[in-house]
Amino acid sequence: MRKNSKSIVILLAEDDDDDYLLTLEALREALITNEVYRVRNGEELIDYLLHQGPFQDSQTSPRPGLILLDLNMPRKDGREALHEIKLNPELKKIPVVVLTTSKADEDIIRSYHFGVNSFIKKPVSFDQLVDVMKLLGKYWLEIVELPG
Amino acid sequence: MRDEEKTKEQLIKELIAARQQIDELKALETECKRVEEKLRQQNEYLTALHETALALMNRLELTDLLETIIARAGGLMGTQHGFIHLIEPNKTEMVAKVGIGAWSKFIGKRVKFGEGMVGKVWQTGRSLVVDDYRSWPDRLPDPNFDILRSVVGVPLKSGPEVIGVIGLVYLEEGRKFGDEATELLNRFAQLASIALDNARLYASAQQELTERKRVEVELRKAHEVLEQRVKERTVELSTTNARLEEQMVERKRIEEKLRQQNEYLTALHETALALMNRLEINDLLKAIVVRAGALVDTSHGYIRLVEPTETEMILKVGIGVFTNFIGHKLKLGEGLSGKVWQTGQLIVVEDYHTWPGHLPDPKHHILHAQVGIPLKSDNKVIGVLCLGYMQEGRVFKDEEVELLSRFAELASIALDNARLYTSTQQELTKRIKAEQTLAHYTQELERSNQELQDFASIASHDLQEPLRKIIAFADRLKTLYAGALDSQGQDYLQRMQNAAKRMQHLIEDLLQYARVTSKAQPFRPTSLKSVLQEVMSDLEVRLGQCQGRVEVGELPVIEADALQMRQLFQNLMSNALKFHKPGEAPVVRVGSRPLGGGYYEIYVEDNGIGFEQKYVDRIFKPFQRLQGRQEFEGTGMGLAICQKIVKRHKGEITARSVPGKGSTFIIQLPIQQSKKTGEDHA
Repeated sequence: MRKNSKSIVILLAEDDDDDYLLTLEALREALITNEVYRVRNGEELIDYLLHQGPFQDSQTSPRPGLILLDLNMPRKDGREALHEIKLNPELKKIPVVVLTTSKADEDIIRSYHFGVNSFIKKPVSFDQLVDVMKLLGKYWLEIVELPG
Repeated sequence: MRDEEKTKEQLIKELIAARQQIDELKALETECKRVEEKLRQQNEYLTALHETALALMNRLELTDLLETIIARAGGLMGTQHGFIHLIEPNKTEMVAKVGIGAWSKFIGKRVKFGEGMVGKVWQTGRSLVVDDYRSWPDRLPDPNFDILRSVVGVPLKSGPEVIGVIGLVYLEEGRKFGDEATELLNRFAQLASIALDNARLYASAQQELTERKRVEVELRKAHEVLEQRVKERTVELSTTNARLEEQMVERKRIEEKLRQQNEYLTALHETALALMNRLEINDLLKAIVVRAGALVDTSHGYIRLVEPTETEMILKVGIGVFTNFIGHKLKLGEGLSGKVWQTGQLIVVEDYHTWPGHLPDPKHHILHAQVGIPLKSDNKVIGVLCLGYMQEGRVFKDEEVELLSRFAELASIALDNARLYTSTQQELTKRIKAEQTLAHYTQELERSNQELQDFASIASHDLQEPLRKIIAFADRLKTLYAGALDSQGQDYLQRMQNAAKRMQHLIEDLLQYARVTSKAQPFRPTSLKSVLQEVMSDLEVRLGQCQGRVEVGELPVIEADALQMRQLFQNLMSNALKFHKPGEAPVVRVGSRPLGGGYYEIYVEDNGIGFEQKYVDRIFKPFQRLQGRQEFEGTGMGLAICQKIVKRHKGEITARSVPGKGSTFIIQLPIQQSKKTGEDHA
């Protein structure tokens, strides 16, 4: 029942418009053409995943096959959202990759403790970001088998 | 950008200043604690001394007293081994009268003048400490004494004359009698001497009394026999009888005198006991005058004390007519007290009115007979006790003067103790207060330092965010639109990117600097040799590029934060490679030597461009650079981080250099870190 890798939806949880733009550009530059949806904070992320509030329509808010999660976000931050996702028996199956500027040891340890699938420190230059996106795409969208 | 950099620099300077202040305050705090501990100990000693004195003064039976003395002395010094030797009446030998612990088998042992430790103390009249009896040249040859390690002997005196020696012994290897302990023992021996003196006097008075009683009984018997004879014989014997009766009266008079002396002694004891309990000075002074007055049956008297300036003495307490003179001052040599102060001797005046030394002001001419007795501490007059009679014709009897002089001796000791106690108490209170203030400041500083530290790390973290974007968008601009820009536009873009990268390095270094304390790891045994090996493999590429060579000597294993040691060597080694002379391959030598006192000196020597020695302090400060950025890149934080790391390890770092000849960085680090320091930063 393997889905076509092209049909996997990527959900980007990122509050910062600049970073959203850069990540989006990096994905394009890495030739990843999958659909990308965006939420701006942890609350929106959970609402999106649970089809609540403005995200009730599963046509306009399709279930993602990969979540790229920023840790430092307003209202509910990425750490709390990650914890909730990984406690939810339905949502925990969605791979979550933390993509953040933080490289604090406690964030790394805590994220894995909650069950994150990968923790990536955002590289400084755009070229490196593109490299990371290439590898991410190759790995999560092509190599690994994901549950349907 | 300039302004931002300035604020940062300011921030860092404040941080460093605060850190230094804390270090100094901590050192001060430690010093305070040490002094307080010492005072507390002194206080405990004094209390022990008091209790001991009280216990001694109650014992009048000689052997009983000696046993108490040695037990108490042992208790004070924390040993169960000791003895008391007393000089025999023939004054050629000393005999061990009592012994405890290892000494109980030596009771009765005889020692000659100048022989062994005991004989030496007898000879010199001074205390003597032998740290290790086995290696002491004057030791007694007796193999029984081979078990002794540290030995102390202090003289027991009656007046200036040595009457015996208290000896105490440690059998434990390496345990020694310190200066403070010896001082305490001396003080104790002083008290014990007085108690011993009193006990002896008491014993001899008792003995004499018994003897007199026996003689009296005999006389009475003789008398009875004679009376019988008188009855039998004739009147001619009545003259003899009368003579005998006269003799009887005389004997009774002597006996009465002895009884009185005995009473005096008892009164003296009671008084001494009462005095020893008082530690508040004014209280004690009052008690001394009142008690002294009671001993010689007068209610007029005073005590003057020498002022700290030692130019005047002030009447501190007065009773009877002297109540009005409290606060009156006298100079050395003035009046009765001034003379006593000057001579250090007791002075008896039969009638103050006709005494040539009297004060001219008639208001002082109230009393007739007066006696002034010095109160001494360490043979120095600290005050004068004076008593007098208002009734004309009432004079001080010899035994009363003797009694007062003895009493003054005891009062002096009590006064001395009270003074010590008071000053100790005052000092203690002062210290505790100072310590509280200090603790408060330390806390405040620590708090503000923590705030600064938090601020620095948060600020630099948040600064990174926009900077990252500047760099990223500049990258995008360059990649996508370089063709649309002319050469000047491209140059601007390049400069912007360079500046942004430099700022990024600055922030990273700043964070690293802050992390020396905020992200510190506990101290663990660390092999500096393997740390250096790791650093060298990191630098392998650079070493190859500049064809450099590293000569590694011996390096120790010390307690340290391994990550920070790595950072330290990384910075020093990369400096050594960076500042090499153009056209000459860098050679770096690393080695160490033990310094003693638990420290190692580690050096990193290069053959680079060096610097002028006058800049040595500057190079360890944050953001200080001696070279232009064009020639050598860097943020100027490397050595500041080195210094912070070394300081956190309770070490020192400095450098020696000659321009054009190379530099040597010298680091002194302790082999072991105290537990506390580890916790401080962990």
